[in-house]
Parts: sequence; C-alpha cells; structure tokens
Amino acid sequence: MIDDHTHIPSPEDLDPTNWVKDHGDYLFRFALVRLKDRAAAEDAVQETFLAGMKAIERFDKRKPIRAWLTGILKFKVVDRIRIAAREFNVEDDEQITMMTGTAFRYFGIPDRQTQPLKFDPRHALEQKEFMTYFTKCLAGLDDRLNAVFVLREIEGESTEFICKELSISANNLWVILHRARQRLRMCLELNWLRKESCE
Amino acid sequence: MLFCRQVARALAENRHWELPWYRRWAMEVHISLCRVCGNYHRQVIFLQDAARSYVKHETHDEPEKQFRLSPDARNRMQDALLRARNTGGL
Repeated sequence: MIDDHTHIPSPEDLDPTNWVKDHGDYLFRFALVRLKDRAAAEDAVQETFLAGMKAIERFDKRKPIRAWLTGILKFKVVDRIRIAAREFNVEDDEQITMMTGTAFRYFGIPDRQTQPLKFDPRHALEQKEFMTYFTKCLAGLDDRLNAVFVLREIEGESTEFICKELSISANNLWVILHRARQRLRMCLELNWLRKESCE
Repeated sequence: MLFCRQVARALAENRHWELPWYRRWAMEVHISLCRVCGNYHRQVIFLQDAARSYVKHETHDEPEKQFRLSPDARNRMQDALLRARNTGGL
C-alpha cells in the first residue's frame, strides 16, 4: 500500500536500486496523468530517479522518500509542460463570446445559461470508479487545455505563474480554462451517465 | 452582498477551498440563490473538487493497470540507476 511509504525511511528505502520497484508505478502515474505521453512520463521518472540519487546526501532522512521524489518529479513535469507549451500555440484564436463577452467581463454573467450537471456530483466524487473517468477525460483534452487545467486545478499553480510560464495573458488563461472545463464536463457526463445507466 | 463578477473573480484567482471561510460562505450563498451564474459556478466548483479528489486518490490508492510502468521501461530505469551508481562512485 502507498501509505506504507509515508513512514520514516529505512536504509533499504534510501537505496536507489529499490526505487523503481517501490515508487516506479506511483511516480509514473503522477507523470503520465500530467503529461499524457508515456515516453515523456517515463523520461521524467527516470530523470527524477537519477537526480534523486545524486542529491541523496541532501535528503532529510526524517521525511518519507516518496514525497521527496514526487517533489523532484513535479519540477520535471512542470518544466516539460512549459517546454511543450512552446510547441503548441497557447494563444487562442477562436472567438469565444461567452467568456470574452461584455456581460462576463463586466458582470461575471455567462452569455448562455449553463445547464445543471446531469448527475449528482457529490455522489460521483465518492466513487472510486469516477476517478478512472476523470483521468480518461483529462487525457482526452487536447494538449493546450490539458496543460492549463493540470497546472491550475491539479497543481494549484497561481494564475500569475501560469501566465508567465506559458506566456499567455490572464484573459486567455481564463478562456482556455473555461474551454477545458466545458470539455471535461461533457466527457464526464457522457461516460458517467452511460455507466450509471448500465448498472 | 456579492455580485456574479466577484464570484467569478474569486473562483478564477483561487480554488474555492483556499478562500477564507467568510468569502467562501458569501460565495456559496450567492451561487445557491443566483439564477444567472449559479449553474455555471457550481460547475467550476465541481471540477475543482474533482481535481482535489483526484489528488487524494493519487496519494492513497495504487495506480490502475494502465498507469503502471511497462516491464521494458522498468528494466531501462533499473539499468540506468545501476549504471549511474557504478560510474558515479556512489
């Protein structure tokens, strides 16, 4: 169980040759959900192990090693997202009236009335299977939407950080986040309702 | 009294649980009563909660099959670590 890795590390835990066995899958999922690409996720995990091995002297031995490795991996992942963001055009060229419209900008009123969710969100979030659909839908977003949503909602980075790192304006960030949410919501509704109707 | 715009701004700058309780409370009251922006902001909150649940799930549950390393990748990493240890004089 993962909880076993939160204790104070033993000498075996500190031996880097045990890391792939102990933390490989955990770190790989962390990277894959955020980067979407298996090869990139594998590279990030491998770099993390090597960086960890080099810096092991600086590791505070009273803390769990998994959290420390995850911290290193997080830096690598954010770095990769930033580099990948240079490849795809983060700037939005499509017109979105909903978010750039006067009503939203000045009064925070969405132009179109949003429909209520078609399932009970609290009930859904309590189900473990829901997370499978969530990761599936997240992976289904295109790179730009995925990168922004991951940084903002999963990593909890500030809007200033994201705007600076991905060189986008605050307004564009808002638009991209909005679109990511719409797509996620549609995908979750489709999948979750299908699952519920099958039961 | 809060306006839709203030709710939109609060949710854009923070995730809802990061707000101080009195702002969160005012925001929730607004959302539950507002016919104009209520549904929209409920959706934003739901997806913020989903992301938070996901992070919790990630820390506590074992990775599902599709999120595990392939045997090849595993071997490659193990080799890289051994090589680095031998050449790095560790």
